[in-house]
Amino acid sequence: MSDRSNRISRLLSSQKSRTAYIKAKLGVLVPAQIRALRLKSTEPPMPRQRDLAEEAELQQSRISMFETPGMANMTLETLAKVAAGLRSGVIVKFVPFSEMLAWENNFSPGRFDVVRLNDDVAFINPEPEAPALISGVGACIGRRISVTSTLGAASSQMNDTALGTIPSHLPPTGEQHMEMPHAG
Amino acid sequence: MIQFPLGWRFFDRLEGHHNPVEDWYQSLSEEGQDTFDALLKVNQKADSPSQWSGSKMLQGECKEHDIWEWTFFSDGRQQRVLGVFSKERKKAVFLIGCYHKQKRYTPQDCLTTAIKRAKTLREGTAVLDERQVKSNI
Repeated sequence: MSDRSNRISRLLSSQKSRTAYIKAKLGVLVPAQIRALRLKSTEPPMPRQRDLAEEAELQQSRISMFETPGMANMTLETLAKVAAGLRSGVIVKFVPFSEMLAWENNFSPGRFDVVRLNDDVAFINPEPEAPALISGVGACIGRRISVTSTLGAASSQMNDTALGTIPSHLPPTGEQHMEMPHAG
Repeated sequence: MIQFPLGWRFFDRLEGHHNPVEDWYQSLSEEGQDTFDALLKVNQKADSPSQWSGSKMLQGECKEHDIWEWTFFSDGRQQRVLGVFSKERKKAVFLIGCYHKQKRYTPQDCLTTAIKRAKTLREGTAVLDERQVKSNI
């Protein structure tokens, strides 16, 4: 049995093994991201850990710990402080193991960077949003629904049998009436 | 297995047919091994050693031999792997694995052993074994 097969087998059967695996990945990738972002920061530049410490309002020794793989169990509050110091956002997202592995395999400390808040035009001055209509709300089975939209706003009426997803390619203006086929 | 073009290659310095770095690796817990594997994977893709996570140049006599160390925390202590750069580009050689607690290395002769092994590498008498980076797990 290969190393990989053995590992998969343990991951499938043991909660402890899964915890160790996830913790190891987080323990390396979080510090690597913090270090990469600190070194790439230009406004302000942060060549030293104490530069980030000042921005994050934390002790330099803690930044040192956060940049050491596996060293620190960061709380969400501390993670938020570090992200704020780096002027970046942060996502904590549950994903399949395959996605976690792909993210790790694609992560490169040299290439990894994040648009900082000062330069984040999409956040500070976003383009007028295309009407999102009713994406994600659900589709109506077998009943007529009415979608009335104007630029930047959308409204919909549907009955309580709504299920599934409505296509999001409706025109941005005017009134749409969609006949949905009856199910069953 | 995914190959990372132009990435770092890592080697263990052998003692005869014996691999002390692998012995250290095998002594780690599953989490410790996973952490070291993840560290290899991330640092492999660094453009330069300054981007390596958890690394620093050692001071004192080790500095004269350009010995650096990687640090990571597992099994309740700081694990350390000492190494040097090869003459070849993007090739790094691990000399010894140990742990560090309360300002002491275990084994205690970790630094002197690393220096001896670094010397044999410079003299061209060291035997190396490439460490595989597990990109598929």
